[in-house]
Amino acid sequence: MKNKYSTIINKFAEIDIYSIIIIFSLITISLLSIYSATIYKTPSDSNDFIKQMVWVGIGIIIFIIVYSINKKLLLEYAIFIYLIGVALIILPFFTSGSTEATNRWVKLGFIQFQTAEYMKFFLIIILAKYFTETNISKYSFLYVLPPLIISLIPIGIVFAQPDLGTSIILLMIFGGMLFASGVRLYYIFLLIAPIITIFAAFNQTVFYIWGVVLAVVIFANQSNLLSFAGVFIGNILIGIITPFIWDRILPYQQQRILTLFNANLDPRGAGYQVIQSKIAIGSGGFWGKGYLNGTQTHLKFLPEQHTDFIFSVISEEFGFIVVFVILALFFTMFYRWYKMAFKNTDKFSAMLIIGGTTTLLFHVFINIGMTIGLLPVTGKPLPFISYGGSFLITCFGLAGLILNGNSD
Amino acid sequence: MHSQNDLDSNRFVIIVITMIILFSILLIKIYDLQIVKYYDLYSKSIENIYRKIDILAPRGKILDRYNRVILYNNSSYNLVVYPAEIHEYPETWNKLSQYFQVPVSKFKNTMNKNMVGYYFPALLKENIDYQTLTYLYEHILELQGIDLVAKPVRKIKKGANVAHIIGYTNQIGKKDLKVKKNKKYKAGDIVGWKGIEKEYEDILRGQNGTKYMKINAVGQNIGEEYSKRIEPIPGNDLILTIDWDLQSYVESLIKDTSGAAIVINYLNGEILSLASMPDFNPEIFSTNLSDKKWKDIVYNPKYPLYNRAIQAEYPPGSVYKLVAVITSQEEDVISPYFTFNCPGYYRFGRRIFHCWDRSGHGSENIYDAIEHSCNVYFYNLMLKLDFDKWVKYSKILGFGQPTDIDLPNEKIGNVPDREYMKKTYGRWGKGYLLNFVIGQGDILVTPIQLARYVSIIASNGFDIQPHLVKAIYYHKKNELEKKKYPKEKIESISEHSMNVVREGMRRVMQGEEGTGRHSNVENLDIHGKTGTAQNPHGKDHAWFIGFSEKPSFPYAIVVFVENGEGGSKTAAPIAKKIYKYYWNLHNNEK
Repeated sequence: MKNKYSTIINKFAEIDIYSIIIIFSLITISLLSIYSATIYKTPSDSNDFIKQMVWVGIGIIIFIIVYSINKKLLLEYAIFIYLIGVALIILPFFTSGSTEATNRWVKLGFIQFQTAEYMKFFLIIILAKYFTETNISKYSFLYVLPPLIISLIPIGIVFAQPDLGTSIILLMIFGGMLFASGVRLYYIFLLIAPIITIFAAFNQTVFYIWGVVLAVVIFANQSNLLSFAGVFIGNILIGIITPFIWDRILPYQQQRILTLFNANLDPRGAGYQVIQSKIAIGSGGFWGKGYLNGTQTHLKFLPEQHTDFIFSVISEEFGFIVVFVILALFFTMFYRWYKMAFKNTDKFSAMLIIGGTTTLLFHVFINIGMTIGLLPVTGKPLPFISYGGSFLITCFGLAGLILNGNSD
Repeated sequence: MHSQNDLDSNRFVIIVITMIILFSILLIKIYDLQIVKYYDLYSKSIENIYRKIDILAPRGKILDRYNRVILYNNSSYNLVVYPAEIHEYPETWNKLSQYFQVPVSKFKNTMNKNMVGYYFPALLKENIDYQTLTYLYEHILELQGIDLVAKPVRKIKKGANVAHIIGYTNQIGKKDLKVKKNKKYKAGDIVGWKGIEKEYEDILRGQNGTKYMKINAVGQNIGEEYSKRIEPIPGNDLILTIDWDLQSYVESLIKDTSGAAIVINYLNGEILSLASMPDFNPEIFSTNLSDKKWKDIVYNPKYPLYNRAIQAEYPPGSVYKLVAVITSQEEDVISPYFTFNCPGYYRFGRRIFHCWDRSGHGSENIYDAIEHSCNVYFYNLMLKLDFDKWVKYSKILGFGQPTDIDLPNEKIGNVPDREYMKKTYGRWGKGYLLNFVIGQGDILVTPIQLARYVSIIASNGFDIQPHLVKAIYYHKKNELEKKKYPKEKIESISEHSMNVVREGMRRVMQGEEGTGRHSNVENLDIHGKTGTAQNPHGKDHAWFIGFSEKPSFPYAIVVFVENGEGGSKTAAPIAKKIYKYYWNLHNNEK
C-alpha cells in the first residue's frame, strides 16, 4: 500500500514540468481572451468565462486521473475500450433525443457530450496496442491492413454523423501513428494515392502529370508486374469515374462540397465568418489593438468568437507578437512530446505519445488554418484555448495520456 | 512494459520537418495578414465599427412652364429590422407583434425574405402611417433592433394626372439592374419606368448620401458620426413646356374618350399639353401597389399604360391628303386652279371608289377639294403623281420616322414605299395608291407625328422637334440651363406649296362649306383639317389637326379619338374647346 502511494508520488515528481508550464500559459491566454470575447455579451453568454474556469478545474482532475492510470491496464483492455468507443459513437444514430440536427451529441441525464471526442483516445490506445504487439513484418503490406480497418470503422461513422473535422483528425491519428511506426513510405503513398487521384481528376493536365508520378512511384516500389498493373489501373479508374459522378450529382450538392473546401464561395455563411476573421486578425497588426479593444470582437463581427474563432480574438487584441509566442509554445510542446516518444524505451508508451501529440498538432493546424482562411471551416477548436468543456477535457486527457506515456 | 522500442529516429526527423513546414505555412499566412495587409484590413475593421446607411437623395422636381411644381416628393416611412441586433433582443418581436397584431412568426418570415445580410437592415413593413410612426418613435429605445427609414414618394399636383408625360417610378427591375450596375444602381433603387421619369432618369436621379452610425458592443446605434457623413445630392429639377392649367383642361375634356390631344407651339416645338386617355394616377406606383390595383391597370382592355399620343399608330385619314397637295405643287403636276369633276365616285378599272359624299362635289379645284375633303379629286390627283415623290414628301414631312420627342418608346408609324409594297403584297397595282392618298390602308401615323406635320405647315416650312422639357435646373451648379432644340427650314418645300395647303386649311375652318366650319373659333384665324380613319374592327377613328395663324397665338392642335366616327364630328369640336379655353387663358395670363 505504502509502495503504491510512493509510486504515484514519484510519478508526479518526475512529471515534465515544461509541458505543464506551456499548458498553463495557454490556459491563461485562453481565459483572458474568453473574458474579452464574452464581456459585452448578453446575459445568457456572459458567464462563459466562469464556466470555462470550472472546466479547467475539471480538466485538471481528468489530467491527474489519466496521468495516474496504469498503462498496463490500457494495453490489456484496449480492445474492450475500443469496442465501447465504437458503440458510443453509433449510439447517437439511435437516440431520437439527440439535441442537434446532426448526430454528434448524446444526452445522458444532465451531461451532454460529444461522443466522437472520446473516440480519439480509444483509437490511439488500440492502435498503440497493435503497433506494439503485432507480429506482421513492417515490410509487408499486410502490416497496414489491421490498423486501417480499425481506424476506418470509427472514421466512417463519425463522417456520417456528419462531422468532417473529427473524421479528419481520426485519419491523422492513424496516419501519424502508422508513419511513426516505421511502415514503408510506399504503403502510405498507396493509401493517399486514391484521394489525390480524385482531386487530380478535375484537371486534365494535372491528371496526366499525376498519372506519370503514380506510374513511376509504383514501378519503383512494386516488385511484381501484376500488382503494379492492378494498383495503377485501379487508381486511373477512380480518376475516370470521379468527374462522371461529379456531373451526376445535383448542383446544390456540388455547391455544398465546394463550400466545404472553399468557404469563400458562400460569403453569407461560413465565407462571411472567414472574411471577418481575416479582418480581425489582420487589423491586429504587430502589437494588437490592446486587450478588450478588439473592435471586430466586441462588435460581434466574429462569429463563434470564443469557441472556434478564439484565435482571431487573440490576434486582433494581442497582435502578431503574441500569436508568434502561441505558435512557439505549441511547437515547443509538440517537439518535446515527439522527442519523448522516440526516446522512450517502451513502444506502447511511445505510440500513445505519438497518437496524442498528432491529435493536438492537427487540431492546432486545422483551427488556425481555418481562421486565417487557408483551410475550410470545419469547426475544430484550438487546443487549451477555445471555449468549451468537452474539448478542453479531451485536451487535458490527451496531455495526461502523453505525460503518462513519458513516465516509467 | 517491456516491449522493445524499435522506432526509427529518421522518422522523428521527418516529423519535425513536417511540423516546421506546417507551422511555417501558418506563420507566413498570419504574417501576410497582420503585417503585409495590415493597413488594408485595419481600415476594413474600422469601417465595420460603423453601420453605413444610405440617405436617399430626393429625385428632382418637375415644374410646368410657369414654374408651378407639378411633381414633388413626399416621405413615406418603412419599418426595418437589423437581424443581428433583433436576434439579441427577442422581446422586440413580441412588442411589435402586439402593436401590429401580427404573429411573430409572420414577421420573422418577412424579415428572412427581405434579408440581404445579417448586419443589414431588412424591410419589415412599408408605408407606416403617421400614428404608428409616432408610436414607434416614442418607443424606439425599447424596440431594439428596429429602425425607421424615410422613403421619398412621388406626389402630383392636384388637378391632372399628367400620367403619359411624367410616367412613373418604381424599383429597378432585375434586367435593368444588370445593365445599369456600372451606374451604381443597386437592388431596390427607384428608377423612372416610363415617361419623363425614364427619359430624364440621369438628371432627375440624385446621388444618395451615406451616414455612418456608430454601433456599440451589443450592436445598438449610439449616434451618428457626423464627420463621415456624405450628404445626398438631390436630383435636378425639370421645367416643362406644359401649361398646367391647359393640361388639366385638356385631360378633363377627353377623359371619357380613348384618344389623345396635343397642343404645340408650332414656332418652337414646345408642347403645352399632351394628354392620352385613358390614363392612370402615377402616384400609385411609388407607393406599395397592391396586386389588384396593378392588375386593374395592366389588364384594363383600354390599355391605360399605353401613351396614345406617341404610340398609337393609325391611318390618318384625310389629314394626309395635304401630303399629295404638297407633292403636286412641288413637282409642278397641277395648277391649284385645275379642276376635276366629282360625281361622287371614281371608277378605277373595274373598281368603284366612292367619295365620302356620294352625291358628289361637282367641279373642284385644289382649295375646294381640301375644304370639302373630296376623295375623288385626290384619286385623280394621285394618279398624276409619281408614287416615289409622294413617298419622298411623306418622309420630309416627318412620317415613318420618330419625331424625337423627349419621351421613351415613341412609335414611328409606317409610310408604304415601293420596297414595302413589294415585300407586303408582291405584285401590286395603283389601286392601293388611291387608298393611300386619302390616308387609308397601310399608312400609319402617330398623333405626335401629326403635330410635327401641322407645325411644318403652320410655320411655313420650319421643321421643329416637339419637346416637353424647357429647361433643367442643376442644384449643384445652381444654374438654370435652357434646353436647345433644332429648328430647320425645310428647303425642299417652297412657300407656294405651303400657301396652297394653308389656304385650303383656312377654308376647311372658315369656308362656308368647310368640313370643320362648326368648330371654328372667331378671331383666331383657325386653319385645320379633319380626318376619319376607316376601321374594319369597329367605329372609325377621328382625327383633327389645326393651327391658329394669329401671330400672338402660334399654337397647333392635334386631336385623335379612337372610334370617334368622324373628324368633324368628334375630333374638331374638342380642338375648338381647347382653342377657346386657351385663348381666354392666354389673354388672362398676359
